[in-house]
Amino acid sequence: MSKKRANIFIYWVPALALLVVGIQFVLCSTWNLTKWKGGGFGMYSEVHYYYHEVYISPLKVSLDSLQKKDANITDAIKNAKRMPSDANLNRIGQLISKYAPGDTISIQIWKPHLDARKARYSRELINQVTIIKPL
Amino acid sequence: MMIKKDHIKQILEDHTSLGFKLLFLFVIVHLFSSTAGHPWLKMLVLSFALFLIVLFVKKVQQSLLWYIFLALLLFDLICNFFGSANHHFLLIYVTILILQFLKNGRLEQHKTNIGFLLVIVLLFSSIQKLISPQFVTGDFYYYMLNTGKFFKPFLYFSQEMRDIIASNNSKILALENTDPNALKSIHLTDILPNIHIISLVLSWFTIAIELLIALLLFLKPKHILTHLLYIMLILSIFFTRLETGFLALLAIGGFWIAERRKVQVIYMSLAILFMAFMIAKIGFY
Repeated sequence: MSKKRANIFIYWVPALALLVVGIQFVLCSTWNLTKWKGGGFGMYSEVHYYYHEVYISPLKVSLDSLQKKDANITDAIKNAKRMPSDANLNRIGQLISKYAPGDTISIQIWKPHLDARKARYSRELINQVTIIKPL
Repeated sequence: MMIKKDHIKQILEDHTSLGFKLLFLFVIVHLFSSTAGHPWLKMLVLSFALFLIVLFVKKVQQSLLWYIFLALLLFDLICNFFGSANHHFLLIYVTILILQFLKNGRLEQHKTNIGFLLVIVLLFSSIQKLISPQFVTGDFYYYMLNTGKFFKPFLYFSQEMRDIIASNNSKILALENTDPNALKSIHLTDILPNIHIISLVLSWFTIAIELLIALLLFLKPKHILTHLLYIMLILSIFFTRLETGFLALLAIGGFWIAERRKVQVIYMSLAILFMAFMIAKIGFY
């Protein structure tokens, strides 16, 4: 009995890898985590998250210029592209709220949408949040 | 210095030592190329690790060295979990297996575990593609081919293809500067006739070949055909996209489980080549 049990435990490292893959599957379906990351070996199964687009409206200055000015904004955008969860989009909202005129800010994440048969490239919305600025 | 044939033969015959050497080099190269952030904290952790290595590590096959490597790899993983590459995860698993092997000395068990890890990598790489609508329709390969992200070395031979790719990329860039809510789309020019069919066939071929090799590695991990197909897969990834870090680790994994000397030499040579690419900062590491 003890020998049998020992035999099962010698494979605990591949079992750990399977567990991480399982967690990655859950994160992909619940928080929109990109398949490329999280240890689920989903690289090259979809367009890389680098090509996702963050669209913020309204914004007084360009998002590129804000990223150059503030490393936290760059990080927040990178995180949101990788995992467009509500929490990550809200984080961008907090950081850029002072650059957004008006009472509400809309933050959207779009990904490339391809149709090979029609040779068309368009964009598809993955997630969006609307933030109401405190008075 | 005369290079003695017998000396090289003797080194090649010591499979375990060579496996350790290759993995040792890979961890060092990988740690240099990984970008975890928190540079000051990383500098402090590395200082401590280097002190331990310089003062207490005498040989490559010493547990302390691999505990230090594991700690550094885990540090990178914790600092940047969602940014870590899949081969970073794989390297952590392999490092734990090395520690397990140094503790119990069971080489066959170690090789079986490495083999299982390679099965998991290929199996889930295939499953993730299978459940991705963008992949199974051929749309993903279509995009990668028409925007010049695959087969870069071959594109140098065709000015026409390079022009089409440049035009496609500038059209995409122009679209990115517009409000996505307007739901505009653009027409991509194909770099080859019938590329949508080629993309579709290539997609399903990739899924099938990854599944087949995963199955062969599970059922017949020592068979020559398994290794020939696995080596072909590594080479085909190499010519498609220079994922040098991932490829080097796949080759090292193959080296550990291969039985035949000639096959081991192929894996060793590939691992060295891919690590040289990583150090020279060519490709994606």
